[in-house]
Amino acid sequence: MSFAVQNYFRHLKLANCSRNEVRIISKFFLHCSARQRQNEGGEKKPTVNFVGPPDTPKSIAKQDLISRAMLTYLERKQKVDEFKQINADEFDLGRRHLANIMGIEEDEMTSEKIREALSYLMPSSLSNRKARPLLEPPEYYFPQNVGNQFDVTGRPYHFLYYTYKANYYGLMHDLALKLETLKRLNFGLSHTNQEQGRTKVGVEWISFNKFVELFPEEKVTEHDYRRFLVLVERIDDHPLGQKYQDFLDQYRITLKPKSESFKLIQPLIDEDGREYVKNSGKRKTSEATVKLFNHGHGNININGKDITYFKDIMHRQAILAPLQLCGVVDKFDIEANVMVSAGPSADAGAIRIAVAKSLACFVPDDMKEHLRIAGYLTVDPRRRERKKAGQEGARMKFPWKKR
Amino acid sequence: MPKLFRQVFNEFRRFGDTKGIHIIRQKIPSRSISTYGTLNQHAENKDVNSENSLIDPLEHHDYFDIRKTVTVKNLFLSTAHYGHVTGCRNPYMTPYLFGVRSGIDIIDLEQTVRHFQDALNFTAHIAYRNGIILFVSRNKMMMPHIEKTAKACGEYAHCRYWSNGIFTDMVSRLGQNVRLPDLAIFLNTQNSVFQTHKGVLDCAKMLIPTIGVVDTNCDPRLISYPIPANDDSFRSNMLYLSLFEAAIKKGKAKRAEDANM
Repeated sequence: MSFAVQNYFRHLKLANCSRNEVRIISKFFLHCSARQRQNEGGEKKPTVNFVGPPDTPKSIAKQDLISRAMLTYLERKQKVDEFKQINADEFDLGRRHLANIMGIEEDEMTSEKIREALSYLMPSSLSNRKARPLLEPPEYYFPQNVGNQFDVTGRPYHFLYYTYKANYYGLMHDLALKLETLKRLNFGLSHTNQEQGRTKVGVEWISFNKFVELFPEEKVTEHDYRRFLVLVERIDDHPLGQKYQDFLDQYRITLKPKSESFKLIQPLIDEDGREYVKNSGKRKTSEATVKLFNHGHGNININGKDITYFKDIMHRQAILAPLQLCGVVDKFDIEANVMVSAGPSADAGAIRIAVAKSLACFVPDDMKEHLRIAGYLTVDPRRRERKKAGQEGARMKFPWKKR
Repeated sequence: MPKLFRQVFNEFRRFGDTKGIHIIRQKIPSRSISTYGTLNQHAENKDVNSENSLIDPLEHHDYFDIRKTVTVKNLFLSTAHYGHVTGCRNPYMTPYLFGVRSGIDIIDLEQTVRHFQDALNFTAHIAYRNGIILFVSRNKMMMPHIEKTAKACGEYAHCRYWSNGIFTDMVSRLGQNVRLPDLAIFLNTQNSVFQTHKGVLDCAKMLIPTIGVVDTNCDPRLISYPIPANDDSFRSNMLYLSLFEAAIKKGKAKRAEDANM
């Protein structure tokens, strides 16, 4: 047995040793080498190849103690650093030259100014932005290399280093352990004790592209991302998953209501001291502007007429619909001006969207979201369809009789 | 003197007794202590901890005092003796069998103990010399536990998909020479589809010694230190993990102790 063990150690060449180790090894083999020297006449050194001469431990240079992996890394890093320095110098030279051409002080040549100068000096009509001329610091187009991953003896720092995706699998390991913990906690609990009905509205897991960015220099595939999703959802769906919500929230994004991106206008004050918002709306070819007065009494004025401007009930209802939804028909005054009329339906549509946009400036956020969901803030993009040649109209055909 | 397997078997009747077993075990030569290696009687008698003693750890048959941690009884109680149904048997595993009971192979735990002790001793020696130890398995159930153990004892784990060339093509993969593991411990020598784990072959190619828990359906030929035992049950796997963890920690503790002497 012992012979086999020794044989393996010869193969392994565990020579990547620290100073401490030299002491140990020399102590181990003092015994062996003494015996060997006795046998061979005292003078010769032991032939075991991984042991430094036990009687002269100081003769091992520091260089020899650093493992080959570390040396290769250090050499590579030195090369990369030199390369980076050259590129940084070139960039600085280019920047100063550009400042000289443009007649700007060198210190004022910021990255924005560089972009301006380039688009002025070398105008490009290429549609792809990446294909246009650019001058950026080297970090922009050379990837940042990761730091050192080994200690002096060549041992990797990360316990999953040999999987080649240490950080990704490290995260998966953490998640798996959390799930195991939950399973153990769940044991023996009745269903009544478990939390139920957690609602997760307005959140979703980070996208694949965002996920990949978490692990630079690791080839995380879409398959890996799907495995991640399976694991986090299992933790999330667990009855006691609340315990790790803070951890999971790091990998979630909160969705914003679309109405939040809607541009709001600050209400103005007119000569009589009334608060109002002015907006315009379009439907088909008709255009209308609407002044919506706050603290009103439900008065309506369309091109100098009241609501009887529209003969149909449907059109009258249409312009009041946004106000009705918010329950404020009698609290606002409408002053509409139809500039281009294309018929009552189009006029009513144009006024309605202008009213809704103005109303959104006065009502609270949740009401605004209701307006959007009801479709009152959405522009109707439909237009009149053109007449086709050889036909009566857009779709209608000429009358055709066989004979 | 370890208890004979048969005695332990009969002691715990709830697992069934030896009556139903069709015994196929050949007569094993009673293993004298000399079979552990070229045991130095001189070293054996010396106190390991005494300051003046100069013992070569490799000459000592139990330098880390770990052989006693494996017994037939604790292996038996963790169901390490259960193999697979006879039809699944790999013929190279036959010498490690005790018998067949209701169509299921029963592993001879007396042999397992010896193999396990050698494997633990080797593990501790590697840890003693600051070698890199890699735990490998494709058993999904055990994955988090193996990784946790590896982390706890400052070693490494690879329980994920084993892509080709992970050891053999390192330079083109990582762009640099990386120190390879000095020992790979396979808690399961098969991949998820019942073929031999690719890592076993890769380790053999790179001259990395391997320790492998081989069940009756596994191929023990490329494993340097095969341990014939059940590799499927949670309980037995947790036992193996705790034993390996203890061995590694003992090796490291001994290293620190000897360095301070």
